[in-house]
Amino acid sequence: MLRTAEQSPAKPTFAERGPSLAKRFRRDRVYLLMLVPVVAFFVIFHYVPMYGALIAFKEVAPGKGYLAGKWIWFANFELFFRSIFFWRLLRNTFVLSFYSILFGFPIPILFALALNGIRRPYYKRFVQSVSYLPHFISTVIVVGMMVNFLSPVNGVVNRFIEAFGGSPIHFFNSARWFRPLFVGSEIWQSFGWGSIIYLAALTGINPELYESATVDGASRLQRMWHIDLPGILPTIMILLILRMGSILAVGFERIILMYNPATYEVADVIQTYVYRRGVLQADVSFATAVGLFNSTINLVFLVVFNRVSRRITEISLW
Amino acid sequence: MVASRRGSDLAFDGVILLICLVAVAVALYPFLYVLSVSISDAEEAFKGKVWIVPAGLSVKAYEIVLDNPGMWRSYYNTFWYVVVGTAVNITLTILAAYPLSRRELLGKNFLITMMVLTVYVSGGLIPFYRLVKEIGLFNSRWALVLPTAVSFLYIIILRTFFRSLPDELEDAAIVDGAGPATVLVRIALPLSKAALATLVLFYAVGHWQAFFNAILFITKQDLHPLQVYLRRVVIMNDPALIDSVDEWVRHVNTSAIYEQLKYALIIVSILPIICLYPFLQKYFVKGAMIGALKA
Repeated sequence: MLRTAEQSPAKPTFAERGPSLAKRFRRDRVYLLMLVPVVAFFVIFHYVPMYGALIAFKEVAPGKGYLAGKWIWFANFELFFRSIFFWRLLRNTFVLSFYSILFGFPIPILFALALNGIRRPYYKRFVQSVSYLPHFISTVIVVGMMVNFLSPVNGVVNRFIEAFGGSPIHFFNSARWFRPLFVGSEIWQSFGWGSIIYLAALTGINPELYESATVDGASRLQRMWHIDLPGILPTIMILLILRMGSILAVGFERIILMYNPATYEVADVIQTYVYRRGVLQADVSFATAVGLFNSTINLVFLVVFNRVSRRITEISLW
Repeated sequence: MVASRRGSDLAFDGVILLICLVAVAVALYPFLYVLSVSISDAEEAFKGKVWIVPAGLSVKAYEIVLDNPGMWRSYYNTFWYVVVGTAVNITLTILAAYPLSRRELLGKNFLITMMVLTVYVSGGLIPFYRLVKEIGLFNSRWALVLPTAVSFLYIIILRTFFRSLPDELEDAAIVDGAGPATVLVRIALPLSKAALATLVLFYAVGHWQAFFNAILFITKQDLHPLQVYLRRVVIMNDPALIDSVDEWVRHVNTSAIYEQLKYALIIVSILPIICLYPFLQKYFVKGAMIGALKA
């Protein structure tokens, strides 16, 4: 009896407030004990680095404490905004992300619609299983296969080109090829896996719609266009908005595996630059500032697109 | 299901068949090609003879790869990272999800807010890197375990699952005098086996595929996981495997066999996944749906 009352708690008035803090602590002490390691994890590996990010506004003082240097406030940010890297990194980040949305987003949808059109269940299951497989192959192996397939010396692709009288292309040293290879390998890895959510949405469509459409003489294409697509449109919208919210979060680990000085011009994004400047060149203060700039823009995009999502679909992250 | 088949429907089926065939070919071809090259004769493999079917048969490349101590070392390391990392992950996930699934908990909103915030606000790569170095994890195996000890998303998924368990069982146990820890171990966990299995798989795959934290925090090659070893050999062309190429091979053609070694190494390193995949696929798909609905 008491349980059901608790499940939908009305705002407690002051008079009927629950047990005192000490009592609640004693009641929950085992639960709170369980939470200690997790809270410690979040404090150490998330909150301490947030505090450490203050170094972006300070000078590094070698030999002294981590944050012992002079305040230089926004000097690092100014330096970054004025450097030639600023626009290049911003452009590359947006362009790569834009292409991976433009080409990578619709493909799982089309694939899910096609899968849904297969009549024989075992055949459908086979195609699904095969298409999920690349998702389980690590990015290192995917890039490794690309590097070797596209190698100008022993690569299968260049042998194919040569067989038709072309001359070998140095794919991985070519700025022109970086973007297609980046986006293409991402799509290869994710087109099948990404279709799962749309397939789930498709199974939720009311079968009566198909029956009445068939009775009305709709062709299979018409059924796909007028029933399937509208049926998964809300899912598409939500995922698109979420994806737009993380537009600056390009797969920089893939870039680190793929790029080299010959392709920095088009491949270098904010996060890879932070990695090179901060980790490889140990320019801590400056790299932290660039990283903070990145986190801030990410957050702004997330908040903006979350607003958009709430307005359009009434679904939001918070 | 005998529908009247019109011309447009036939064409529709044809297009769908074509799309699916292309998808299957695109997804499978790289694997088949790598496999074929790896078991071909090294000389033949790169003369433009291998497209899908192997040319000549030779397991020489596998002998060399499987003979390489560095490869086994990295394999063992990955095994360690997957087992220990996943054990830590799932333990912490349970320890967080269970208390947070209680209807009443002192400070629950504060704790959840504190965790959610970390999804949106971050100090960035460099302070994180500095911290891990400063607390002495640099070049330690724990650098690949502790900084990724728990995922907020999975805490939320498991919390939702715990909430869906029937209250009556737990209430009965509490009436019998069992404490929260006993209820968790004796009742909640046994009822959550499927959910836990899915989370274990997701965490394990994450550790299996991870490489970036390893190149950040581990410079000792002895501690490198398989992915970093692969990166060195397959992407950066580090001749780490060449030491074990014996004199016979060196005489024949070092370049060809060395190229082939990479293909054999790729196969060796995806074999566990390919073997386990058919059995585990359904858990993954189930997990992907839950994850997608939450995200």
